Amino acid sequence: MNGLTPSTLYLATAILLILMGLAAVLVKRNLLKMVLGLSLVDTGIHLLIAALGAHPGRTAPILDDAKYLADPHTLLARVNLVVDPVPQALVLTAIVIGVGVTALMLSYVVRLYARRGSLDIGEIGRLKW
Amino acid sequence: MDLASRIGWTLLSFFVALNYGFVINGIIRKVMARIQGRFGPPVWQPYIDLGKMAFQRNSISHGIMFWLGPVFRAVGGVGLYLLMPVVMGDPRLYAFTDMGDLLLMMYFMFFGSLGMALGAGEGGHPHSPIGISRGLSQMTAYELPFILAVVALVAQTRSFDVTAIMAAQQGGVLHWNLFANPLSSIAAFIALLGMNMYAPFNIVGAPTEIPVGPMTEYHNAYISFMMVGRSAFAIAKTVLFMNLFLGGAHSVIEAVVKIFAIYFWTVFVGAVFMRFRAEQSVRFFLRWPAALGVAGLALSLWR
Amino acid sequence: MVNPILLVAVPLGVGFLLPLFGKLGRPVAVAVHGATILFTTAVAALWLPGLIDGSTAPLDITTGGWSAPIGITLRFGLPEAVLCVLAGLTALASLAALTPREDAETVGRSGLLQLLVLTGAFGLIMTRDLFNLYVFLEISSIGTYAIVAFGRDDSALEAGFKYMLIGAAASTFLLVAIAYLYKLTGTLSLVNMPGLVHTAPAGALAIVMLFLLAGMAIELKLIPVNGPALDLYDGAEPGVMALLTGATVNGVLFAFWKVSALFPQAWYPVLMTMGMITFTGGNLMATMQDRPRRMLGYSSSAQLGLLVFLVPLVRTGAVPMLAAGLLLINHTLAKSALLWLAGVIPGKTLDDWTGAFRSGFGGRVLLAAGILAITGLPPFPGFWGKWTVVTSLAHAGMNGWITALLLGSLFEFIYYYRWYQRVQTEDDSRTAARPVAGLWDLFGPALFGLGGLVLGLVWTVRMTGTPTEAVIVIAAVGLVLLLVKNLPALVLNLAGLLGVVAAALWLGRTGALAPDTLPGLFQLLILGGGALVLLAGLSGGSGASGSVPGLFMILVSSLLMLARAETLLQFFAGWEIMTWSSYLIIGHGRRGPKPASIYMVFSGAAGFLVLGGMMAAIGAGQTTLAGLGMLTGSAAVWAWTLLGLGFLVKSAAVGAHVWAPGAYSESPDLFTPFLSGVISKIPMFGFMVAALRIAAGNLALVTDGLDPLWLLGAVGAVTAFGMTLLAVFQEDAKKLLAYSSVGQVGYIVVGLAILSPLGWTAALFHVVHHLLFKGLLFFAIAGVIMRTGTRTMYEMGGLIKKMPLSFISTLIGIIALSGVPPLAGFTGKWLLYQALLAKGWYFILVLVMFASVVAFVYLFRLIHTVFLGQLKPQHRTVREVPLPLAVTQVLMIIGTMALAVYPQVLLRPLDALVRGQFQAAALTFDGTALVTATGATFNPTHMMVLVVILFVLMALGLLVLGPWPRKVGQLDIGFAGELPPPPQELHYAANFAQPYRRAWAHLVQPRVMRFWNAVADGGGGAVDLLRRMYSGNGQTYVMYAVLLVAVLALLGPGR
Repeated sequence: MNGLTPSTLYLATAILLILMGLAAVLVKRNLLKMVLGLSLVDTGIHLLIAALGAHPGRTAPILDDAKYLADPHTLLARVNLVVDPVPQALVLTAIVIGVGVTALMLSYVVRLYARRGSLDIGEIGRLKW
Repeated sequence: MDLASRIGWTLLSFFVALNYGFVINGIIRKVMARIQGRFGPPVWQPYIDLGKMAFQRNSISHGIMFWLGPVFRAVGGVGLYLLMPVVMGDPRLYAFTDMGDLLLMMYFMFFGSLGMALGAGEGGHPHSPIGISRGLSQMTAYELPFILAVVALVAQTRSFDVTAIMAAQQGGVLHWNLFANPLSSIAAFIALLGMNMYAPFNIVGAPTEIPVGPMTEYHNAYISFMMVGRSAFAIAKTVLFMNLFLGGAHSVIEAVVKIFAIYFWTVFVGAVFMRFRAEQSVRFFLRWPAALGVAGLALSLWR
Repeated sequence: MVNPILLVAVPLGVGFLLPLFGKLGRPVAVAVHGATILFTTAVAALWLPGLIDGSTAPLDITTGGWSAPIGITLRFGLPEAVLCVLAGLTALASLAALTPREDAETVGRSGLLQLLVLTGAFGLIMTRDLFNLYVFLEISSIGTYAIVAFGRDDSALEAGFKYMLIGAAASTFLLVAIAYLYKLTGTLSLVNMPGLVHTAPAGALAIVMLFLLAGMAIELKLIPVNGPALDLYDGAEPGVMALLTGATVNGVLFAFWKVSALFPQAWYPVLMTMGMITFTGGNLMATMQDRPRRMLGYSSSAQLGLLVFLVPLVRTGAVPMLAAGLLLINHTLAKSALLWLAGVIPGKTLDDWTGAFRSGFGGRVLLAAGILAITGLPPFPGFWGKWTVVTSLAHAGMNGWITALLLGSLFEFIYYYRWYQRVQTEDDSRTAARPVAGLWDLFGPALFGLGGLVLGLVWTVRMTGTPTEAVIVIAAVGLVLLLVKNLPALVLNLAGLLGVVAAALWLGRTGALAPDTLPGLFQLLILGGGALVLLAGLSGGSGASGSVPGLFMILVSSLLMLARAETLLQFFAGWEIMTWSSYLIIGHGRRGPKPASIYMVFSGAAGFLVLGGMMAAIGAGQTTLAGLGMLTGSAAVWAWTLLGLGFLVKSAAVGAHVWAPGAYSESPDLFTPFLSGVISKIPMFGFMVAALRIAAGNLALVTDGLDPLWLLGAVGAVTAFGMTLLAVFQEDAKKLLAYSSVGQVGYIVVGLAILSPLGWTAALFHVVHHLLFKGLLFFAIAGVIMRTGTRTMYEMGGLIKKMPLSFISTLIGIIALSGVPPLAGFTGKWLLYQALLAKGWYFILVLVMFASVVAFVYLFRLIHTVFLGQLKPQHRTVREVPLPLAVTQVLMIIGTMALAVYPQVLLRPLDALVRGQFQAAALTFDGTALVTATGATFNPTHMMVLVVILFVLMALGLLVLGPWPRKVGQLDIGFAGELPPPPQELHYAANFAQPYRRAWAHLVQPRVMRFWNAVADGGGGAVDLLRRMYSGNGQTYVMYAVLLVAVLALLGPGR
């Protein structure tokens, strides 16, 4: 391996974030911290996906100039110069979903706290077996 | 032989057997008395009893089944006798034995007892069912060694036909099943002790405790009927044992002697033994006689 | 045809407007909501006919004008249409179930969430794009999380939160997997990806599959990551869970089906193992569950596990997709219905279900239907699905999987029927306050129940052919009687009787009832026994009213189907319908529910053993009963062993006898004769048409080592003896007869095992005769119970004076049973003993002879304790039985006596029958005498004549000889001059077999019962430990997900 490429860096960061988040979910007893951990995991995944589509030296996948589109030849050359847009689209969607889920979870936490008066995950284990 | 002469011979045979039964009963009472150091009643005492009972002037009934009890008993005794071949090779003394085989005899043995028990049951006296309960327990228990012995015999002849079993024992005393199948025979003769209900297996009618057991409510004419039934039954049963284990009889005299011998085996044993409680009899029969019976059956299969 | 894309667009669009419609008032919101669902369902449903008959091609929908690799595509074919219709119907019923509880303010929001869930499901079903699939998964998840939170209960919040935690984990896994799949294949389209995925490097692919599987396992609620789902079933509203079951879960499952194309074949064993562990393990853990809602959760998990198990098999073509489809439809219909019904009962524990749905119409019927369907019993679609699956597995030789599958199905029986037992139990202190199911509550269950029934009946005809008209008539009468069950017993039974008679005439005309064929003989028995029961039922009483006559007709029709069976499937379908209909009838006894559920579990075990045996045959290529004779080798050994064991368990042979006394004694009194006389003979029929055919065709089986036929005979003999001994100690008249019945079946087993013409003649003679005399005894005792109100024998006595006919019936019954000549019991025993002697089975001969002697003890005790002895004061006003019951008894007496006087009326057809089976004669008839092949003779007619003549002579003698007796009172007994105590003290009855008890006490300890209890306790304890893995802690659950990934990484094919 010849040094740290940007992709490797992205990946390493993403995995670190995921593991940190997972650790929080598994270890922290406070509901809010667990939700925070999940957010970290989310972020890590988003980074991971974005990193998958990344390609050093390429630009954003925006083909706005009509002159490129007119000529298939230049279009192809141009396409080869941009990064893969699909992962970015995925990330955008995933972020939206992640926000929704986090919001819902937080509202759950609020209501649970109102009912049970505690934020301890150990306290919400009445349903079992 | 046409049906009329067959019925005639059967009636004659039955009449003789019945009287022999009465005489044997008289002798038994005499013998028991002598063993106990008494003089005892005359040998013809059973005839006196029969006459007295039959001609008593009053009678009561607890209901139709009660009334039918002695009838069942008599039918059971007489019917069983009619199924027995008494003297080998003499069709005049074969009665109606062609109707069935050993199985029919074994199962018809229960007919009288069952009807009698039902009649006694309707009598409503608690001693009756107590006696029946003991009798039933004892009866079922002695049936095991008896069945084992019988199956050991039929395993050799491959037939439940009594005449076939008799035929297989011809050719000398040592061919009798008593000697050819000693273990099975011993088991069966111990079972006979139970069947005849002398001590140690006389708990059924236990004279001092539940005065006469099943028959408690019966009296007078009923008793006379039962005496007839019981005499016939006892003779028939003994004839069966004679046929199964003592090689049958070739003449009336031989039959008389063998019947006497078989019957008195139970009487003599009864004279010297104490009485078993019902559960003791059950345990006894299921232990040694049954073990002997199993050994006898195994032996006969092995040969 | 309307474009199915509207399925997604319309609910999503309308959904968000629903809160606004809510402002216009509740009715408006509900109407719009309902119209939306109706519209989408109709759109999907309209596609169905064309897709089914193939006239319409499946539709591929492209979005934005881009086709597969680039644009997102959706597909709408037959599976999609079916699933969408199911989801739509579920949503419709959910609307009915959930909406009444919402007020004007929340109705719109609740509606929005419901529609959101529905949209997610539609999307999941139709999409062919991996990322799109993820999005729809999240839409339905978010909808689910939110709708769960709508619950008023704070346990719903708890469950929802835990569900979200694990759901987040699932999303993470899936997202990682999807991203990498894109990276590896360059596409997200599920149309192209399966073809490309195998080009990816194996190591990378393994990791991706790992995450994909872990994510899907969570969504599919597989063990061990199903904890939060279980909590959700426990905590959330059942109505919500029904919606999830019918819509989301099916969507997820179908999504899994689509992505399963990505898994390399090496992963298939992993998928199958996880699925089967979930099926068997989930059902096992559910057996210890005392909260029905959570139990349903375990069950859902298990059912999904089964479907996951099937996915790889369907992919490889080993199992047809239709079978999996039937199982899925069955599960959806049944589980949703059960959940809606659970929503009516407010409490969560099993106790809260005591006597549920007692009042109100239909609740209990629908619950029963749901349970029957989900446990895979015919005619519901699950049965046909399971049968197809199991036969496919058998063809593929996957016997281990079959075993696991059947074991799991048996566990399913245990908890479902225990639950229903609680429902059937009437406890007035509890039942009085039970809520009544309203019309709207029953909308969903009724819709789905009817759907399941119709689909099931269609499949019944498809798989087993159209049943004969007689069967249809009887079953139809049964269904109608169930609907009009509130009519008087007279009407119900009369209608039933007419139905049976009509069917009998019909069948008789076609010659199907010839008694010289096995099916003909048994059909005669079934129709005759059925007619007698219905005739007795005209008098009302226990087992003659309510839904019993209707169920009884269904039972009769199933028995006819079984008796007429030619294929293994027809036999088994009839067998299983017989099982459940008799189970439901037994449960109608006053204390019937508990023994009924035990009966059901043992019957279930018997059924699965029989099924296993059939699979051994089908695996060897034999699908008909006649074909069983051609089995050879290990297939023959397995088929013989399993079928034999199944029939023995069902006939309550020794060891499995523990179910019988309870089921017999607690079943409705007028039904018990049928249970004893006909149903207990069905396993014998099974032996004759199935198991013994194998043995007959494989005498090689017999020659080396222990003779299996001797073993069977020995089991029969030990049963005969052991049950007789147990009968001796009973104080309860029906229990006594119950043990007696089981023992008598033992004699039949002995006769069949001899496998000779004479042995079969003896067995079949006993089959018919036992129906007559034991039926007579049970009817007589039923009449006594009806009049005295007790079954405890020592509480009766002296009834001969009040119920003379019943006494005569009992007398004839016991003489016939005991085998004392001249009744036909002796004829039967004589035949059997001759056959045993000819066969040379001496020890068995001794044992059965001894057993028949011991029987005297209980027989005498039965008649004495009830009819003889002292009449109790409280019974002085007792009357004879009502006319219909009396007529029934008289008919059976006539039958018994006819067999006694002239048994050839039965023996001649039986002779023709066994001649057909063995190509050899058992008996010759010399005038009235019976002569066996070995020359043994018995003349029953002459014997009867002799006894009658002697009887008349002796009776005349006593009349002439003795003085006419004076009738005396009950207490006029010779009591040594003392005043007799009251009748209660004079009646020597309780503990009648005291000498036996003293002598044999050690022999009759309830060892077998203790053994089964120990199995139940030990097994239960182990299961209880196992289910504690679901600790209730959300972090533990997430931990399991992580561990699952780790385990799959270490043990999976990618390692």
